[in-house]
Amino acid sequence: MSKDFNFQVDGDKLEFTINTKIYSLETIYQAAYLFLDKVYIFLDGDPSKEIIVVMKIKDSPDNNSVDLEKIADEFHNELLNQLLRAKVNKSNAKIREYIVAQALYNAVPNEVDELLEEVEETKAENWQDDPMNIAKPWEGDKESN
Amino acid sequence: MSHKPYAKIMLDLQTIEKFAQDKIAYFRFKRFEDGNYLITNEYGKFLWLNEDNFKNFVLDKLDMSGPIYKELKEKLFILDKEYLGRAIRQYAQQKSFLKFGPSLHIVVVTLRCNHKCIYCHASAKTCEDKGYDMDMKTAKQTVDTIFKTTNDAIAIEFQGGEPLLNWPVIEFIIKYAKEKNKLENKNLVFRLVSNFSLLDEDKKNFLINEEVNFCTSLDGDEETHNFNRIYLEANSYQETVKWIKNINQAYDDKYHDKKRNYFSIGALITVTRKTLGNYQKVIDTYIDLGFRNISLRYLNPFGFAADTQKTIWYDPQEFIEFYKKSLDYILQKNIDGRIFYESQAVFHLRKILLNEEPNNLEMRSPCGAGIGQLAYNYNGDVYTCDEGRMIARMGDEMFKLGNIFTNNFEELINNDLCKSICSASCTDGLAGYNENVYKPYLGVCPIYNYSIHGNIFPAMKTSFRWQIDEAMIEYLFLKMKDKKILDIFTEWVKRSKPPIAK
Amino acid sequence: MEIKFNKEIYSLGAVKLAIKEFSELADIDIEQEQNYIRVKFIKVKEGDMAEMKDEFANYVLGLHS
Repeated sequence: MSKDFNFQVDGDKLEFTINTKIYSLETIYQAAYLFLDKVYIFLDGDPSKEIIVVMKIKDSPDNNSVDLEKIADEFHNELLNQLLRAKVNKSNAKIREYIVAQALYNAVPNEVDELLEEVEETKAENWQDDPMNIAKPWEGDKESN
Repeated sequence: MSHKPYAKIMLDLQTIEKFAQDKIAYFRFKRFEDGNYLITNEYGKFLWLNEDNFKNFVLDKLDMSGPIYKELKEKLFILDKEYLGRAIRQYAQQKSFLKFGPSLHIVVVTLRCNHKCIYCHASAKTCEDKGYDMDMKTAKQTVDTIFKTTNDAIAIEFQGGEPLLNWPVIEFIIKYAKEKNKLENKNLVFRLVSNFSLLDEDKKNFLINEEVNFCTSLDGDEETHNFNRIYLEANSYQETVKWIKNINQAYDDKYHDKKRNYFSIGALITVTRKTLGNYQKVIDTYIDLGFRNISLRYLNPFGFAADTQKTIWYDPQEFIEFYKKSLDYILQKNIDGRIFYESQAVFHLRKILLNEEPNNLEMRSPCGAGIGQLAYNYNGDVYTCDEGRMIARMGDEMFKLGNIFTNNFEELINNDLCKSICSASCTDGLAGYNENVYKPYLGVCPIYNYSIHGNIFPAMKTSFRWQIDEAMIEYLFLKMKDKKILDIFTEWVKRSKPPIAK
Repeated sequence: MEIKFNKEIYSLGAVKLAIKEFSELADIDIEQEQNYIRVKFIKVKEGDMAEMKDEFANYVLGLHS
C-alpha cells in the first residue's frame, strides 16, 4: 500500500484525494464504477492536479457490515488494477481489432463476398477501359518473358 | 487522518510501469482475498496464478521452459509467433453462429391455459376464451416462414398457454414441417413445452413416434409445485409426475440403445421464494423421478402484481445463497456416486471448459434475439424471442418484428430492431463488462434490461441479473479449484446435450 | 436540496440523461454556472430526497465509465 494514501473520516463519509498525474480521470471513473453498488461516490477537485473523492455508506439493510475504510483501501487497489488494465488495453488495442475483423470476416462472409463479387463484375464489365493496363493477363507476360 | 492497511496489495506502480507490453496478450484479471489471481482472455481461456506468478507474468519474467509459461502460451496469453493465427481461428470458431440464421423457433399455438400459475408472465387466457388459438392457415404460413431460415438446424418449440389445448395445430405443424423437410433436408427437431395435464395415450404415442422432445414444468416436490402451479381441475403435481413416469416407460419400451439417452424428458423449474427453503426436497424429487439434471433458473422479474411480487420474489443475495447451497447439495450427490447436473452451471461450464457458445441464447454475446431465435404468436406476429413476446403480452409491442402475412423473412430479420438488440447485447465495450474477468462468460438480455430499466442497454452493476450471473460464475470457478469438483464438472459437460442452435 | 457537479469531471450530457431517467421519480431543475452544473431536487415523488440525490450522483458517475 502506498504511504501517501490517507483519508479523512467524518461520520458516514470518507474523503481522500487522488493524484491525476498518476491516475487519469478515466482510470478513476472505471474504479469508481465497481463500487457504485456499495457506496455513494462523489468527485470534485481539479482534474489537472488532483481529484477529491467523497464516499458515503449506502443506508440499506444489506450494507450494515460495510466498512468504509476497507472500501477506500479496496478502491485504491482498484485504481492500480485499472492502471494495469489500461496498459494491457492500450498495448493490445490494434491486435484485438485485427483479430476480430479477421475472425468476423471469416464468420460472416456474405456481405464481403457480395462486395467482392460486385467489384469483380464491375471489373469484367469495364475491362476494356483499362488505362492502367491491369487487365492484361500476367500469364501472357510470363510467356513473352 | 487515519489509515488501516486492510487490503494487502501486490500490484505496485513500478510493476505496472514495467508491464511487458510486447510480450503479453490481452487478458482480464481479478485478485481474490487469498492473493491468487484469476486471469481470462477473449477466447474463454482461464488460469489461476499466485501473486508471484502473476507479477512475473505481467513482467514477462516467468521461466519460459516451466509449466506455467507453457500453459499461458497454450491458452493464448502470450504474444508469440503463433498467437495471431491461433487467436483468429479460435475467435472465428466461437462466433461462427453469426453466419447462421435463427435455429430456435418458438410457436405459440394458443394463449389459453388450464393452469393459473402464480408467476405466469404470459397473462394466459382461460380455457373458455375464444380467438386465442392459432388457425391452420397461420400454422402453415408459420412453418413456411421458419423454413426460410439459412440455418441447417431447425428446432420448433410448441409453447402456450398450454399448447395441448390446440392439439390439431400441433399435429398439423409436425406433419407439414416433416413433409416440407423431405425437400429441405434440415436437421429438424420438435419440442413440446406442456404441463401434460391434457395428454392422453393417443397424443403421447403420436409424439413419441414423431420423436418430439417433451419438456414440462416441474417446480419440485408436491408442496412447492402445487403452491406455484395452481390447477383447479386436479392435483397438478400428481398429473405431471404421472405422465413423466408414463413417458419414461414408453421411451424404455421403444429404445434400448443409445437413442434412449437422447430422448429424455426435459423439465423446467421456476424458482420462487417458496423454492428457496425447500431446495433439498426439490432436488430430491428430480433425482427420484429419474431426471439427469435440474435447471435452477431465477425468475424473470417482470410483469408481477405487487402482492404476487411479495409472495414469490427474492433479492439477488437470497437467490445466490440458494444457488450455492443447491449446487453444493448436488455436488455431494455426485461425490456419492449419482451423476446429476445443474443445467445453468452447465451452460456456463460449456463456455468455460469448452469455450463454446451455449444453447442458452441469452448467455451469448450477441444474444440470440432475432439472430438465433424467433417467437411466432398465435396470430402470426413475430417477436425477437420468447421474452419479447412476454413483454407484448403486457401491452408493449416494442419487440415485435412484424407479421408472417405482411412481412417476408428478410424483412423480419434485417430490420433496425434486430440490429439494435444485437448491438445492445454485445458485451464488448459495455461499461462494467469490458473490464470484468468473467466477461467471456457473461451474456446480456436487452429485453430484461428494457423491462426493468426502460433501456435495452444494460444498467448499472446493481442489476439483479448481473449480480446473480456474476456470482454463479465466480462460484463455479472457486469450486473448480478442487480437482475432484473439476472432474465432476467435466463429466457434466460431457453428458450434457450439445447445443441444437448454431 | 442540490448537487453541484464539477464541469471538468461530469459531462453535461450525462447529467441531462440522468435527469431524464429520474424524471418519473423526481422533479429536477438544472442550472449552469461557470464551473459547475447545479442540479436542484424540487420534489421527490416517492422515497427519501437525500437518498435520491445520492443515487442520482452515482447514476451520473456510472454514465462516465
